[in-house]
Amino acid sequence: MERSGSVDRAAERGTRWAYRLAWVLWAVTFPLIWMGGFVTTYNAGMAVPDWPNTYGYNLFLYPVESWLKTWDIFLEHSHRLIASAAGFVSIALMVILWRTGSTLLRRLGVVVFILVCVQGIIGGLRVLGQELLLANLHGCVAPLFFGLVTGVVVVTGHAIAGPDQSKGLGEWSLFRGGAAWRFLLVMIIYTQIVIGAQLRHLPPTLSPQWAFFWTIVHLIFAGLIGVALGIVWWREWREHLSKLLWLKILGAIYAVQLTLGLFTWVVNYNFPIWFLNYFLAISYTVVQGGAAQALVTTAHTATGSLLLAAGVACWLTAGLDGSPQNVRVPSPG
Amino acid sequence: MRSARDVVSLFNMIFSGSEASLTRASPGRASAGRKSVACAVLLVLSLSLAGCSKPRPVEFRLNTEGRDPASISPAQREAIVSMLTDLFGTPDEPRVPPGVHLDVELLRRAAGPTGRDFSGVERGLYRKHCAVCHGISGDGAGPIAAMLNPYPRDFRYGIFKYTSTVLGAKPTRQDLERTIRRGIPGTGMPSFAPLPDEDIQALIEYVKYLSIRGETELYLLRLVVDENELLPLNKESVIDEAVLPVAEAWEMPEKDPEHWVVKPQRPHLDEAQLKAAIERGRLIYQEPRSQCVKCHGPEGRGDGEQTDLYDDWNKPKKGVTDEQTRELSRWFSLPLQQLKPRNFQEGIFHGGGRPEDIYLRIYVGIKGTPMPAMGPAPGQPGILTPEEIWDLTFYVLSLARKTDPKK
Repeated sequence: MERSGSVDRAAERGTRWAYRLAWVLWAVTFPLIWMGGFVTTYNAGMAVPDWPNTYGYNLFLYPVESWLKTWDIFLEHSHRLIASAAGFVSIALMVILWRTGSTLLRRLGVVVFILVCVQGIIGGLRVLGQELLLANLHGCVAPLFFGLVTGVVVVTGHAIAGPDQSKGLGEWSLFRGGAAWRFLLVMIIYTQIVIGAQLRHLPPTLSPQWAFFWTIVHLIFAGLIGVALGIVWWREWREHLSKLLWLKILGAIYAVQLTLGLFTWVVNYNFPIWFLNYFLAISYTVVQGGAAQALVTTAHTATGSLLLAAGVACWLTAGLDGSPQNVRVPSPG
Repeated sequence: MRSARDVVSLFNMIFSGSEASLTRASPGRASAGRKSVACAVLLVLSLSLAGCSKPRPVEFRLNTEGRDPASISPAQREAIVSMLTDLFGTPDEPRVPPGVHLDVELLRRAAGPTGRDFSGVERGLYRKHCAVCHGISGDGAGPIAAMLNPYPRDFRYGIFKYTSTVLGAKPTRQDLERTIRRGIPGTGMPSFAPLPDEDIQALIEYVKYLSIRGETELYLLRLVVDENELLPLNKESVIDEAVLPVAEAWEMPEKDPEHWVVKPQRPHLDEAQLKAAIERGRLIYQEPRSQCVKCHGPEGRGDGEQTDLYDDWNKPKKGVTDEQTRELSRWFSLPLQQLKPRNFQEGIFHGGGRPEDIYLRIYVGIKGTPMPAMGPAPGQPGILTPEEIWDLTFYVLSLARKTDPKK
């Protein structure tokens, strides 16, 4: 009995450490996404021609003066360094999750490890093969990884709070009731990110009709996210007020993201002619590589990932805590 | 010890698909786990194959604007493409035809895929900065082009809107540099001011290269497709009859600027003189000879009676009826786009908002558009004198409330 108690305590300690480390990984991944966004915005993905080395140097031994000398090399090399940090933290997280003994947490740890490896290899092959399609894929996997890390934070946090951490995913109500709607919302957000990645990585030989198509689809999905968010809110606000925190956060990020999306167009391609003709004439000139263009465009990319992460948290909190329909606010009287 | 065992069992699971480490997992789930791992390995392998292959070469697109591509036989297409490749190379490996003065080193910086080589020199500047709008071939039909108004410039016709050169002359190097550095306000053309000078020079050189190549291509299309010239083509005669005349036209404004280039000399006016100049400009604006009112309207709001306006790149798409327009537009990359005359009161001037810029727009016009050249040119007296053009300039700027004589 005594031995069993000490094993439980060790597992609990492990889960606590896993929770902390998952937060560390989250805190490393978000800047990594920003840096990756800057690399794409500045078209600096091929600033370093080799991989995993940097101009023949071991990644960690590349001279600091060369690293800081040229802007695009600085971005690409920094991206690689932060990515390495994310890789190391992922390995540590996997080991700690493994030691918790929970099947679910172990699996999550392995998936985090596999995904970080796959993402690193895709990034490297993009450089070696000078392949834009792989850059596109790299841009699609990054938010997926960020969403996964957010999921690990939520699940480990939930495990610390007490409930039965040995439960399998199927035993939680992740795909039933309100959680199912939230899951649908997450899926729509991710689809929108994939569509956005197509616009971020337009091949120069693509026909104008395709780019137009992707833009329209991107706009439609921006609206769909709003509709899905509205449906989830409408379903839950009467009976489940205390569980709306994540929806509020999601709504706020969505509003920021819509604004950033509009300004991303403006800082890259100027105000549309109909806007200048019929609404407000602004003599604005786009500045290629200017601070406004770099910050707004990259913020739009990073906020997309943040929206996905908030969506994952919103979904998992609903699913792990039980179906929202089961937790009703008692009516007065 | 336990950690070591954990790591070993973990790697067992990943690489051999063993379910030993999947505690409390059912056989069915273990099988699913094996499948997932196998899928991940397959994904990595397939990506490796994709990544290890050489990048796909990019090709110039044959200029079939305005004609049914099927009307060009495979033999004609082959003859044109191989002649152009022989003379100008490819987007990855540009070549300069004999007798053409283009800097090969600058071209190589601008051409090819984006990135740096092992010596740290940046290549592919055109693809990095320009191709998404102007297209690989400089056809103004890059991926984003359909959503821009006005469309990005099609370099292949050798016509550039904002120049300091008289009617019919190519732009100077400084004209292209000004547009690249400043951008075009109110349009998708950005300012590349943050770029280092050598990058801008490389881009200018590449734009000239695409333009000379484009005009040679037009010559070949006329010769081979329209006039049904017997194949094979003679390279020397193509160089003499097409390449060199175009290249010389590019050199003329640089060699003889007195003759071809207009240099605005802004008069120094005090407040009273400026007021008088604006009043004279107002009268010139209203006069029928200047034709300003026809398009820009009596108050310069861009609401003149002439509304059916198109630039040279869009005119061929315009038919008499809508049906005809649809039929003609079928053979172009981008749909018909109408021009809207500038509303001076908005204060957005595409060619630049300084008095010198407005003066040049009136003097030499906006090439390829219905905006005519009002100033004298070699062999032509011009509609307005330089003094009258300055008066008109100050009047236009007064409409935009930008008439501080010190600026």
